Amino acid sequence: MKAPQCPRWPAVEQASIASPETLPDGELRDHLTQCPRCQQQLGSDSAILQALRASPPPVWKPEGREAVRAALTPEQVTAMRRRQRNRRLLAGGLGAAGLVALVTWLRLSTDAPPATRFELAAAPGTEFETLASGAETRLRLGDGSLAVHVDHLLPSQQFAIDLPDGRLAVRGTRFTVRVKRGATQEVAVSEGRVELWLPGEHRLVEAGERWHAAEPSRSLPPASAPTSLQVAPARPAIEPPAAAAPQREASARTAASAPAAEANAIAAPAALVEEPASAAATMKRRPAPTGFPEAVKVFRDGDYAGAERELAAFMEAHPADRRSEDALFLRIRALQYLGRDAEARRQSSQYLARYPQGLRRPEVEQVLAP
Amino acid sequence: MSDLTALPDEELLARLQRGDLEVLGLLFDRYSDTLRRFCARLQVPEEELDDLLQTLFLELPNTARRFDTSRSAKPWLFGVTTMLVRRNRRSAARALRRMARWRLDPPAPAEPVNPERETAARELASRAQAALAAMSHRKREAFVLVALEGLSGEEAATLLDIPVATVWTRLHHARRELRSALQEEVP
Repeated sequence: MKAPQCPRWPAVEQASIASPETLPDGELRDHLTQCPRCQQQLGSDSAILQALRASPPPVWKPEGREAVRAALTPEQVTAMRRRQRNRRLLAGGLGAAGLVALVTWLRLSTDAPPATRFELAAAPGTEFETLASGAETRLRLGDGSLAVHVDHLLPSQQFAIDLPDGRLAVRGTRFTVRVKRGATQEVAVSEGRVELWLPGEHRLVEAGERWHAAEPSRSLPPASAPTSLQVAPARPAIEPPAAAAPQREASARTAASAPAAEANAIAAPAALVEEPASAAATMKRRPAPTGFPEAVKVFRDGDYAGAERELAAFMEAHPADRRSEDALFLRIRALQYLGRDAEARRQSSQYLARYPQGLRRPEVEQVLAP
Repeated sequence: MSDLTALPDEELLARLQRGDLEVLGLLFDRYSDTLRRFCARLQVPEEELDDLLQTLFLELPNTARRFDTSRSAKPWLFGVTTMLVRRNRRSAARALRRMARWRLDPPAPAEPVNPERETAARELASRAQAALAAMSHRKREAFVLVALEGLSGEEAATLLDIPVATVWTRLHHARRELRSALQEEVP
């Protein structure tokens, strides 16, 4: 049976770690001279080392040494350099090919292509919903106006809008589309290209062009279209106060929430700047205003008294309508412009009571401020 | 030539850096046996030793560019050799050659019984070699460099590109493995 290890052996071994033949100094050396177990351990290590050293060196083959030495010529060195360079090139090429293969594999192995990226701005009162999101985004526009900016799409991506009377597909563009009473009224493209399918009609609307229901063949010159169809900046056309309209989640207006909403900005600013005089002149004559969009139009035309009446009528006729909040706010503004401050304040109190979390609350509170 | 033979190793490597290939043979004369034995201790198969050594010296004019002339030549040459042995170990070509050899050749016959090896010393040496061969190559590198080739721990750490403490740790484990494998022969 083997004798147990001396408790000081680890220290002795550590001191002679480089070689068991190197004896430790000082106190450990004294210990070693007196400890037979440590001596035995160190002796074993030393014997193993000597046995390994005593192993005969590998024997050269006959004339092997001379053959190897004779091969050390400048030509062979050059050839070796060439081989080394080729090996590096091959390794680099293989690395690059591997990287390409990996990227390709990752792209192909992804279950779904990346979601389309788009920005959406809806005019007040616009009815739309997200039918599908992700790589193949589909919206449905029931009524109103949408300003859309879609990032350039990959071949595996689609972005389309179902219209009441047709369909619209894009391939990376910025455009607005307006629908009214179940009929597409206008498509204006400021960047890229839009493909439009309508009953009996299929056309491409290019950047700078505008398709209009009243005049289907008309194409405006590029210079006029983009400026007239931009999403309203800080000062919307119907929004005299300086504060920008707060943004709201599309889910408030959409029938289905979009999973892709994280990547996409869907905002509903107060209004779209639309219908320049020349375009408005081409519109069909509208029937007598009976709803919210008409009231907004009257407001925009500067007829605040008429707008106030129509907004009040709309709210009375449709108290549960989701546009009532906007209607009430516009009514407050109309009253302000008419100088009817007391009424404006009364309506503001009503707004705060009805919509304590309303998006217009800060502006309405300013009306009530002394 | 007589001038060259008197030059120290470091100066020969410095000349090699400058493209003087004449010193290559001289370095071979000085180090071929040492490095060949070193390769064998790192368990390079005997039939590959000459090729490996030739590659080592043919690549030396290129690798010498990285030599720091203020340092000692011998540890650096051991370092270059260690890296080449590692590369050789990984070499797919070598693996293929080995596979081909396994496929075509009958199993290698057992080492012929040599009466001389019957002696205890020979037996111990043989077992020690086997234990060294069974060791992981990292431990073996540290052990061969420090215990067998006599490099300092710091030199081994530099050429293996590891901390000195790691050299000591590997050395400790290597010695323990050898001791454990040879406890019958070396009580």
